[in-house]
Amino acid sequence: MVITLAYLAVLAIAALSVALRHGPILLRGRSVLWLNGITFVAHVLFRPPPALVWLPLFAIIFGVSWLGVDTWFVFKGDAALLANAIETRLRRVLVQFSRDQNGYRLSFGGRPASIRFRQIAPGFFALTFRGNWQDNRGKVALRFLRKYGEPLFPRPRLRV
Amino acid sequence: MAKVTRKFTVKRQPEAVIDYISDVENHPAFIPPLKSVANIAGDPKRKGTRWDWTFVMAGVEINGKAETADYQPGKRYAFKTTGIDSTFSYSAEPAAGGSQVTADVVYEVPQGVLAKVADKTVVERMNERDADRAAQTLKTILDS
Repeated sequence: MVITLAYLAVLAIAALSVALRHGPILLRGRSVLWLNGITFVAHVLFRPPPALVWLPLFAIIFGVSWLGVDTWFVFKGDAALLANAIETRLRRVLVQFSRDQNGYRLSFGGRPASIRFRQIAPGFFALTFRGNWQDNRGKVALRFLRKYGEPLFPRPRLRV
Repeated sequence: MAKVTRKFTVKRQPEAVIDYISDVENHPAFIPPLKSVANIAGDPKRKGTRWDWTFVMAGVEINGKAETADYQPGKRYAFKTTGIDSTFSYSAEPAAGGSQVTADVVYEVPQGVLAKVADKTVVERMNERDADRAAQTLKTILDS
């Protein structure tokens, strides 16, 4: 029960963090996968009762979160600003791209890559990265794109 | 003061290299801990042009100011930061197939910032690692 409460506390803090701050706020699907994976493993190791409830539940949650591993979620975003940020960043790392109705098409090392750009709800967007993002140039582009917006949990700030 | 130097070759001519580096909005693309630059007051190629920067060090966002110190087309671009006193200078010389790029950073992290962020040795080690990553990233971008 403690593990589940801790998990729910993290979700609640995350929800508050989104609700109380200005966007855009970026959350990577990989981070969600890590949270769900750690929670599932903790349930497997400690088997809090009733195990027949928690284990399957968190196994399903963990399994479903694999579907979003290549997706980034943007909260409190704006479609035009997000598109502009993506395109500007790709240009600044000297990556050529083309835009279509689903998002962006690129190529790294002669192999295709894409960013699928979807609006899930007002202010809530999903960017799904498919294809050859493992190329060095793809990784450079991803690292720069990841600097967009604010992280889910705010960082302490220091002005010098 | 601590100093970090990296030399590497890229497949672009010196003019294109210095042109890319002197556009300070490109810096977050290849300097890993640099989150953003903003409020650029003029042309960064002009000496004295100022801007704001945001760095992430040990999970802490640090905001400060910078200004252009030197620009020689096709040869050198340098800027200074204040708050965390540092000078970044990039120079490019012709080399077979492109350019040899030299990146020098001289810096001093104030005690107050160190106390809030990390131990001095840790900071220096982080900066050495960041310098490696910045050089590799800049090379990857310019070799495209």
